[in-house]
Amino acid sequence: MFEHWIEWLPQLLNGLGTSLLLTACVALIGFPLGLVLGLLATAPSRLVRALVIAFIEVFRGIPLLAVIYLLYFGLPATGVTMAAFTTIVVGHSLNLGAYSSEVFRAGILHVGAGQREAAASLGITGRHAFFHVVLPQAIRAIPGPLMSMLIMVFQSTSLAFAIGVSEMTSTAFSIGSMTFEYLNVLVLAGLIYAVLCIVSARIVARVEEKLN
Amino acid sequence: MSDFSFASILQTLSAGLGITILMTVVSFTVGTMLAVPLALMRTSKLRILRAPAVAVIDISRGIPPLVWLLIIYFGISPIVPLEPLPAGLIGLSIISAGYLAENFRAGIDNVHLGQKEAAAALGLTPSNQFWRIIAPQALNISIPPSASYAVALLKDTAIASIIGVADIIFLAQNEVSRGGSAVLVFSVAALLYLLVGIPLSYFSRFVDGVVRSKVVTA
Repeated sequence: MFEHWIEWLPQLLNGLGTSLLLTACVALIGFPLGLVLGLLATAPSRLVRALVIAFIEVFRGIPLLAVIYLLYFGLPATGVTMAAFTTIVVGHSLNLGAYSSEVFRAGILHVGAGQREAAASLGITGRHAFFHVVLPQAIRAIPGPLMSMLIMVFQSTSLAFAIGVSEMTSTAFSIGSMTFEYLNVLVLAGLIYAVLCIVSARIVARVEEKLN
Repeated sequence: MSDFSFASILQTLSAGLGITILMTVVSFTVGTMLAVPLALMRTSKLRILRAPAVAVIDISRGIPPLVWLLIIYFGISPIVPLEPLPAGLIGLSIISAGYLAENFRAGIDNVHLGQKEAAAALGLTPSNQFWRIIAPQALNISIPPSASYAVALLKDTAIASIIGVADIIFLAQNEVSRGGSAVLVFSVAALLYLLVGIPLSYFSRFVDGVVRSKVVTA
């Protein structure tokens, strides 16, 4: 059993590279999107707030797999065709944006009105108060939940299997279909995911403890 | 000639809605039944009980849901024959057991220490301290996160379509392969999830509000 593991490991690690690359791309697009959505959800305009909240509720309410299929099979009909890799990045980023917006919003609300008032009394108002007083404090309150979300994103990049991006799950599956050792190779892939997730979750817990 | 109107697609996909709800309810129930003993072991003072519980919870949460389903359907069904639906139910139950056990553990750990001390001071036996004082409060604390997990689980069941369970997404893919417009078909599928998920998440927020006013946490 284990001699196969050594033989398969290089291919799986290659797939893991793609999984990690997907995760990084999703973080780079999804978190800024979440920040913008979180800010807009606290905007003074009622219309903006309603639209943003509808967007967030919809993307939090639909399975990620449905979003991916909609983008991958549905968009070409409207003239937009994306590669499978891009589809996964876009679908996950929309999803992460919706989920993380709540964390950003809570972080912003967490910085009390007192801070804004204190800034205003020092003559710091508007844009300056936001970028130099509110945002730095808001960002300090949220790394823990955001890192946990990133671990979830890493796990759910396995959905890329459904549209044939050769990340770790797809790689394991195709090794399985060639060798008929599905159990063996999928367990190995599962353990690689688990070890990475468990170790990062422990690190996140440690960091959260330090920040508190 | 097939009919791909909104109404006809809605009707076709509604057949999968039952399977989606069935998977959510069954795996949440089985998950809860497995999670209670796991959480008790996890919070035990005895290492011999705690260590295996930590391992089971970590593994169940550490392996991505899709990989779990592939392991069970493609890995185990050659040894023990399994149809897609039972394979999906087993996988989703294992996953929810891990998440719910962690919720229950957090519930037990977050009951204020003073409660246990007060119970001990009143002369309650250790077993009564736990079952009559700690457990009811721990349950209250863990209900809101478990309710929001039910919403997450509803959406997670969609991955069972990949191993061939005839849920909403699976039927949607069928409709598309028969010639339905993918935009329309998947939008209807999304609508069905929202129809169930949004009331469920409002309910979970309502429960959160009710419970929050009742407990003292650590």
